[in-house]
Amino acid sequence: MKAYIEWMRTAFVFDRKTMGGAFFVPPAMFILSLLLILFVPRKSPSIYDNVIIIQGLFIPFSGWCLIYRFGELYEDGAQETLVPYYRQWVWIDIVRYSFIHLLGVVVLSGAFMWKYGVSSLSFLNLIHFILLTFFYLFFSTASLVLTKNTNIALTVIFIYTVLEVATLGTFMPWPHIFLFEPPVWEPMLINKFIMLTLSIFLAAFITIVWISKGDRKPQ
Amino acid sequence: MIHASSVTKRIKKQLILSNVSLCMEGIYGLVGPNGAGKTTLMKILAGLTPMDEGQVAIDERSCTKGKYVKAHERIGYLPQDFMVYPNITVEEALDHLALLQGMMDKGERHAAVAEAIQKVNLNGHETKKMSELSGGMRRRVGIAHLLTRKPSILLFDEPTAGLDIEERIRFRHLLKQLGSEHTIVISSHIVEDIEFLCTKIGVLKQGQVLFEGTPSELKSRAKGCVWEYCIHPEELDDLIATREVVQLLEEEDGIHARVFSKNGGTGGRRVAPRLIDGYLAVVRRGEPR
Repeated sequence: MKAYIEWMRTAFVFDRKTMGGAFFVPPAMFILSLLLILFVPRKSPSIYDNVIIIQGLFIPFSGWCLIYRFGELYEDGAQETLVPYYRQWVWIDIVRYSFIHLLGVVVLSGAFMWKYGVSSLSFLNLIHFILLTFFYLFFSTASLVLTKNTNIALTVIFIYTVLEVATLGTFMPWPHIFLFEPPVWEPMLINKFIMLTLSIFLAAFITIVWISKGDRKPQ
Repeated sequence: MIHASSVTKRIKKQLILSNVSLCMEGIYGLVGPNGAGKTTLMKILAGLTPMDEGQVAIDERSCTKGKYVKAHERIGYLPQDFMVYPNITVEEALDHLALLQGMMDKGERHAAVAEAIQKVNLNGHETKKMSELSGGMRRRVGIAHLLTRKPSILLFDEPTAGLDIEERIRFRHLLKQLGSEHTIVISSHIVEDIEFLCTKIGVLKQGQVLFEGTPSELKSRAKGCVWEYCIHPEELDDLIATREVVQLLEEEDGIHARVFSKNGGTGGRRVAPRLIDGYLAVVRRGEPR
């Protein structure tokens, strides 16, 4: 166990070196979200804007570092060398970034409840945060393995999130993954949770299979 | 020793490798024209690509599981265009690759990386970024990475392709040096490299084995088929138009042209074949062993 923790620590340090400044984007979003929750005064009913901040500002970055990490596979000449290793460590990579982001979600939710009261955030919101974190994590990696291009994958995530959050889910017609109002346990919400869960499994499957598969074209 | 038996590979019904059986030992050269299936065979041996049929054994012990060769710890594969982590230094890249191999202990990792850097003569380049290295240097880093794993078999796909002459010569010496400690398989279409390095050769064409044996056995396939003509420069065009000229050498008495042909013409003398002649004889004849 100690060896795995040391492995993870070294891997984080390495990711910081390979990613440069981009590594600090998710922590910066976390700090920004925390500051907005703690220091921007809101009154009911606009306190729910802070929940939207957690969903739209912090959670979408849960797959950010993994896009860069797995993106190394698609650099020219790297795949044959890295695939056998990444295949072996893919779960550990997913676990370490899931853990970090879920910890961030817990801290932001805690800050929200501390500021506006425990009852201000429902259990459904917390479930939704967790599902959304995994959704973004695997949606990001699946976009990467399918497009084999870091920039395209980041652009897909960025455009989707901005359109959804900026228009509060009114622009795009399909079922929305965000909650822009306090949740109520009704068919709409159940459908949303089911859709998120299925998407997570599908995107996780695509990620694992594609990374394990590597490039098997003949030459 | 790595032994491939009846390896067959199809892609979309097209036969890429057909019943390939080879016994690779020492420094082994895999040669053949483009599209012969050399890289596919190397990737199968490295466990990167599945085969449809066949078996692969290392030192007479099978290492085939399902359709894959599972011997990652014993086989190191260097692709033609090795490049990883362009934004970090050679030392950091090697250290991280060692970590990915499962070398958890920092001290052990550093020692293995330092030893590998020493072996491939990369001293003084440890702090250079990967993106700043030349093609030959990058391949050295690739070899250093393989050496940290201490595999018994090294597979090199076109190791000298695209290198300048000096770098190619340095690289050949490095491979020769590694050959004393490892079984090496080199896929190449540069017959000169194969002649310099290899103790055994396999010739592939369209996925079939045409020849396997020693360099002298390959040379002997062209016995009686190589002629040398001493000609004036103005006769050269005619000769090229009518004969298959494989080599030209400018000497004091004129141009010495080596011609690959079953029948010599006037003025030609039969000479001892070289490796390239043997290769041509085998590839032209085209029938499997």
